Amino acid sequence: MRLLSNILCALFLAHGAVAMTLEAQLPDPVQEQTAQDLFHELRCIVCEGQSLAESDAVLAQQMRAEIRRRVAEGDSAAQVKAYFVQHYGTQILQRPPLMGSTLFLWAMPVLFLLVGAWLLRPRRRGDSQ
Amino acid sequence: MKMNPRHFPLLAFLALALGLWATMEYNPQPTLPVASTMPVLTLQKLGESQPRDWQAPTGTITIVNFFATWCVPCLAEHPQITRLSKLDGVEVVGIAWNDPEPALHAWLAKHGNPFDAVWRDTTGRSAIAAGLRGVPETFVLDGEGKVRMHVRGAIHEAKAAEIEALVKEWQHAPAE
Repeated sequence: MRLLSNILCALFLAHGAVAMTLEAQLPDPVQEQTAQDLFHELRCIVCEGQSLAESDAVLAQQMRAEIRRRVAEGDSAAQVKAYFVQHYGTQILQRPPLMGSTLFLWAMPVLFLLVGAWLLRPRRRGDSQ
Repeated sequence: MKMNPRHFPLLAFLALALGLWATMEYNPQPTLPVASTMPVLTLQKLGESQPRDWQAPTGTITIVNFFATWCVPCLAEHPQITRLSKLDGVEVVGIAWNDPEPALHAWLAKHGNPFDAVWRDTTGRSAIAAGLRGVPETFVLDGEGKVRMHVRGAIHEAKAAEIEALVKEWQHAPAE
């Protein structure tokens, strides 16, 4: 029973990886690597929270095919990213660019640290009352 | 008024929550901004085997409806698409996304074909070019092929009335 559940878990986890490796890869390993890197840098627009590399959605599969097609045609990684940003906005990027509206997002780790340091600051006895 | 230091953590939490909430919508612009030109799409016309380029016609108002026979909201909006197709001087173009041709023929025969032309996107290239997130999605283009309205999801009665009013407003606007 335990063996069966382990096998099922392994199959479930491997499902996405298998789906992607079944796709036709580019004959040039350098171009394929560029495409693979882009799959990790772009977000699946249907199932937010997943990258294109992880998603099994039809639109994600079609986006991977489009990325491979563009890379095979000689587009650089930056050109492919620019194409997707032009059509889907910066939301499609896994790493949101640093701009006015995302400043807070990028500053948050520092803010959290500062707030944490303030909360844990050494206090004199009687301070908490 | 002197602030109690014990309230600082609460204030800090509220400030963070507010900041996060504001950041959630950091990219609210639609995928194809209004007034941008509809890109040239590579599509297969229903009944044809080879894909070719489709360009938004000029000189007529065009409603481009991405749909699919397997999509329930597409069926729900079908009466509204049919209603819009009856408007004078409007061309309604249907683009079926990921649909086999026999299923498309059967669906159109069963539910009626309101489209002036039906095309198929079997590779997703056109869907990506239009910034599609799913089906149904509808683009209302003016006489210059520019996107004037982009509707995500099914067109309900009120939205169809809005599109109809918009079309009539353009048609009655004096030429510049």
